[in-house]
Amino acid sequence: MNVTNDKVVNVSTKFMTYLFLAFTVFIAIFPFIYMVSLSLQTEADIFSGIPVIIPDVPQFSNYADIWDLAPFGRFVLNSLIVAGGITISHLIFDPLAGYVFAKLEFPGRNILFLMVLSTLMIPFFVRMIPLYIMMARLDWLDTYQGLITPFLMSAYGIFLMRQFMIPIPTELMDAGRIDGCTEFGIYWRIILPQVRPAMATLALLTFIFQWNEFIWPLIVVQTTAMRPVTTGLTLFNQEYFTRWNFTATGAVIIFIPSFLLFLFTQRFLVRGVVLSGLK
Amino acid sequence: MAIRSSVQTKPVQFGKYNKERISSKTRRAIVAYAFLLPVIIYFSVFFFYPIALELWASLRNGLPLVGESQFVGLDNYQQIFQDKRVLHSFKVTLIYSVGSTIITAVIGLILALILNQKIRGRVIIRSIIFFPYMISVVIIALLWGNILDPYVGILNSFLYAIGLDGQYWLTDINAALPAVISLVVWQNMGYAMVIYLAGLQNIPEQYYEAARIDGASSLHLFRYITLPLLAPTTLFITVIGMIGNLQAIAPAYLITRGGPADATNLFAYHVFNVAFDELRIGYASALAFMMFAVIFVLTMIQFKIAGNQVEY
Amino acid sequence: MKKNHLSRRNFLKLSATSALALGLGPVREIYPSKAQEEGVVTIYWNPGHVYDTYQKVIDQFQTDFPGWTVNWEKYQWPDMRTKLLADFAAGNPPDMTAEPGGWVQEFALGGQIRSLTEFIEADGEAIEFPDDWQDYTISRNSHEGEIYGMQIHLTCGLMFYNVDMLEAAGFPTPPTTWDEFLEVAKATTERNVFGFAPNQSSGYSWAWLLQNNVQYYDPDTNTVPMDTQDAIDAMQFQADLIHVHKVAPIPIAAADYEGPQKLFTANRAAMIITGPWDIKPTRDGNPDLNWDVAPALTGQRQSTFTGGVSMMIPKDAKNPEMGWELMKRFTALDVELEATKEAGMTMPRKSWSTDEVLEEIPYIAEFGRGLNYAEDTTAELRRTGKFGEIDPLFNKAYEEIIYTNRAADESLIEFVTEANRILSES
Repeated sequence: MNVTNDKVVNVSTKFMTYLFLAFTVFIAIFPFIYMVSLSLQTEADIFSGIPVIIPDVPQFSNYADIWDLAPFGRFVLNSLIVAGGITISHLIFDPLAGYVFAKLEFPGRNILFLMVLSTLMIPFFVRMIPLYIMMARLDWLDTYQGLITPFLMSAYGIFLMRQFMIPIPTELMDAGRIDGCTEFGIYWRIILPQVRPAMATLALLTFIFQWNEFIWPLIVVQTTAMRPVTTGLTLFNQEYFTRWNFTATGAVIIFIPSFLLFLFTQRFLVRGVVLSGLK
Repeated sequence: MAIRSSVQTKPVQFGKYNKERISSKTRRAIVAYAFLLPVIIYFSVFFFYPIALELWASLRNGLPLVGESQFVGLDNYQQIFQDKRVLHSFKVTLIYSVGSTIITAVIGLILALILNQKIRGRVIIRSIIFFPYMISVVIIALLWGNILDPYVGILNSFLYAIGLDGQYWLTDINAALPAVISLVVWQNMGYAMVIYLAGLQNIPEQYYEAARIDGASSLHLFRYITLPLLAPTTLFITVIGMIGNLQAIAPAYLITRGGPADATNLFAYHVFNVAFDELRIGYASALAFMMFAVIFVLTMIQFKIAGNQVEY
Repeated sequence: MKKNHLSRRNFLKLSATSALALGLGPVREIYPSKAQEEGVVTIYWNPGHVYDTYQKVIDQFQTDFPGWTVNWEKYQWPDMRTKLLADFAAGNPPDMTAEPGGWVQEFALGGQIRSLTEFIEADGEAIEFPDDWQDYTISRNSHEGEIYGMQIHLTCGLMFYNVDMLEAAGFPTPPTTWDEFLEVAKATTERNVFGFAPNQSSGYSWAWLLQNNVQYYDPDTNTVPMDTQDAIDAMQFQADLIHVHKVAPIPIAAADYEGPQKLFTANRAAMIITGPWDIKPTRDGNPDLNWDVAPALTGQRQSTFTGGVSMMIPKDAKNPEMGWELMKRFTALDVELEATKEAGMTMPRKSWSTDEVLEEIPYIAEFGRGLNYAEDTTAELRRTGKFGEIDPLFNKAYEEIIYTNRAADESLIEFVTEANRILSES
C-alpha cells in the first residue's frame, strides 16, 4: 500500500466518518428535542394542528403540575423498585447459567441450552394469561412480587453472558483449580471479573427493558397506586386524543433514570485488561 | 492469519476432590446441574408450564383458559395454511425482521468501530445515539406518529418549507413498511452499538500490537482480527435480533395498527388481535406455536452457519 | 458464602412457588386481591371520561355507603380489553366496567357478564330504565331478550363545518345532500386546504352507508348484504372524494383519531364528520375559529352512525349490587346534564335530548337532534358472535378502497364472499 493512497483514503474516510456521525447524532437527538418541546407546550399548542418546535410561552410549570395530575412520584418509585429488583436478580442468575453453558461440559448441555433459548421464541402475551392465573392464585396480584417474579431471569441474559464468556481461556480456570479453588470460587473470583463489560451491558439493557415494560403491569396491577410509569402515563390519554404535553413531560422525566444508568455503566466499557489474569 | 486458542477438555485434576473416587466427568456434571438448578426450576414454572397450557389451548375452540371450550385436535393448525391474512402477515414480518436486523447490526458495528477510537466527546456521542433505545416504545410510537403525520407533522412541514413535497410516510402502502423498518433501526442502532462496544473491549490489545508489528494495515486488522473475534457478538446480535423482530408487536400496535390495508400487519400483532379482539384464543395459540416453530428453525440455521467459528 | 446462602433461600422460595403453581389446572376460581377486599368497589373507566361530575357522584356514593370506597381504575380501551380478558380467566373481574360499544353483546354471548334483569325488576321504574333510553341503545345491549348493559354516553357523527370558509366560497348554509356536499367540498378546496378530511377508521364510513340504505347484517338470510349497488356507490363516493375530485386527503393510518380535527382546527379542512368529543379540542386549539355543527346529510335517507360508552357487570363480580348502584347514579338525568355542561358529552336519555338546557350549550342541541335519527349498525352482527372475525375484513376492504383506490365493487365483493363463508360455518 503506498503512502499517498493511504493519506487520501485517510482524509476522505475521516470526512465521511464525521459526516456519518453528525447525521446519526442529529436523527438520534432530534425526536428527543421535539419531545422536550412538546412537554413545554400548552393545550392550545397541542390541539392547533400546527406543529410547534419552539412554543411561544414555554410551560415549565408542566413539570411541576404533572406530579399533581396523577401520583407520578409513586409511579416512578414503583418502576424503580421493580426494574431495580429484576436487574439485580438477572445479575445474580444469568451469568451463572451463562457460565455453565459456556465453559462446562456435561451431558445434555446442548439440549438444555436449546430449551432455554427456545423460551425467547414465544411472545410474552402467549404466557401472559396462565401467568396471571398463577399470580392470582398466589394472591400476588397488585404487589411488587407479582410484578417482579415473571422476570427474575431470562434466556436473553443467559445467552448474552454465554457469548461473552466463551472467549475466556480455559487456562485461567485450570490455574484456579490447581490453586485449590472450588468450582464456585472459580466462577466468582476468576470468571466474573473478566466479564464486567458484559455484566454492565446486561444490567443496563435489563433495566431499560423492564423500565419500559407495559403489558404485564397492565394486567397484574389493580390499583392506581401500584402502577409503574408506563401504565401510569396512559392516564394522560383521553379517549380520542392525546394530551401530548403532559405525556411528553412524563416521558422526559422517566427518561432520566435510564440515562443516568447509561452514564454509570459507561465506566465499565473501558478497554478491558482481559489477559491480566494470566500474569 | 487466523488466531486461535484452544478449548481443551482434557481431564483435569480437581484440587481437593482428586482423592474421591467419583469420576471427574460425573463431578463436572454434578457441578453443572447444581449451578443450573435455579434456572431449571424457574424456567419450568414460569415458562414451560404456561407454554404447556397454551399448547393445550391451541387444540381447542371457544374461549379456552377464559371460558368454555371444546377439543378440536389439530383443526386450528390446519386452518393456518388456508388463512390468506396470516400468510401475508408472515411475509411482511419476514421482510421486516431481516431488514431491521441486518441494517441495525451493520450500523451498530460501524458506530462501535468509530466510537471505540479516542474521539473527542465520544461518551456524549455514544449517549446521544443510545437515547432512542432508552425511550419507552409507547412514547416513540406517539412521537413518530406525530412527526410523520403527512398533514400536521413536522417532517412534512419542514419539507414544504424548503420547497419539497411531503410524502405519505405511513399512509402509502409501499412506504409504510420501510418507514416502520427505519423507525426500528433508529431505535436499536444504539443498542447494537453498545453490544458491539462491549465485544470490542473483549479483544486484547496485544493481538493488534503483534499484527501491527508484522506490518498489517487497518483493513487487515479489521478483517482478520476484529471481525472474527467479534463473531460471538455478531451471532448474539443477529440471533437475538431475528428472534425479537420476528415477534415484534409494538410498531404495529402503537403506530400503524397493521395498516394501511395490512401492509404492516406484523405476525405477532395479528395473533394478538386474533386472541384479544376476535376472541379466537385457540386459533391464536396455534398461530403462536407455528411462529415458534419458524423462529426455532431460523435460529438453528443461524447457529449452523456460525457454528464452528464461535467455538474457538 | 453469601452468594450460596442467597441461592439456597431463593431455591426454597421457588420450590414453594412451584409446588403451589403446579397444583393449578386450567380452572377459574375466585381469588381475592387487595382490590376486592371488603368494602371496595372496583370499576374500570376510560381516562377520557374522568369528569368532575362523576367524581362528585363517587364522593356522594362513599358518603351514602359508609365503609365503602370506590377503586376507580382507568384504562385505554385496548388495554382494558386485554385486562378484562385476563380478569375473566383468573376469576377476579371488576364489579362494573365501561365499554366502548359492542363488548356487551360479545361477552353476553360468551357468558362473561351478568344479565341486568333482576336489577331492572327492582329499580327500573324508579330510574325509568329502559323506557327513557333511546330505543336502539337498549336493543344493542340486549341478548336473547335480556338486557345486559346500560348506555351511559350516546354520541353520533355529525358534520363540523368552517362557517367562514363556506361563506367565502359562496355557501351561507351547510350542504344537506350528497350533491351539495360535493359542490361545497370542491369550492372550498385550495392548495393545502381540503374541502373534507375523512377519518381513517372504517366506522366513520357508516354515515355514508346508512344514508344510502345499506345494512351490515341481514338476520333473515344470515348474510352480509354489502355487495349491493347502494353499498358500492356509498364506498365509491368516499374514495372518489380523495382520488377523483381531490377534495379530500388520504387519511392517516394511525392509532389515534386526531387527524381530521387537527386539520379542521388549523383551517386546513372545511368540513369533517366527527362526534362531540372533538368540540373541546377544536375550541381549545383555535378559539378564534368560526365554526358550527350541521345535521347529517340526506342520501336516500338522513342517518348517521352512533357510538358511546355502555356499562356492564361481570358475572364473577364480588359486589354486583354496588356496581348497579353506581350505574344508576352515573345516568341520573341531572348528572347527565351536568356532564354535558362540563365536557360536551351527549347522553342516551330521551328526556335529556329534549331538555331546554341543551339550547344553552354551544353545538350540543344539534347533537341532541342527531341522536334521534342516528342508527346502530353492528348489534345484529355482534349477536352472531362472528363480528370479531368479520369486522377486520371490512376494515381491510375500506382501507383498500380508500388508500389504494381499489374499485369498490371488487373489494366489497371479496369482503362479502369471505364474510358470508364465515357466517355459514357455525
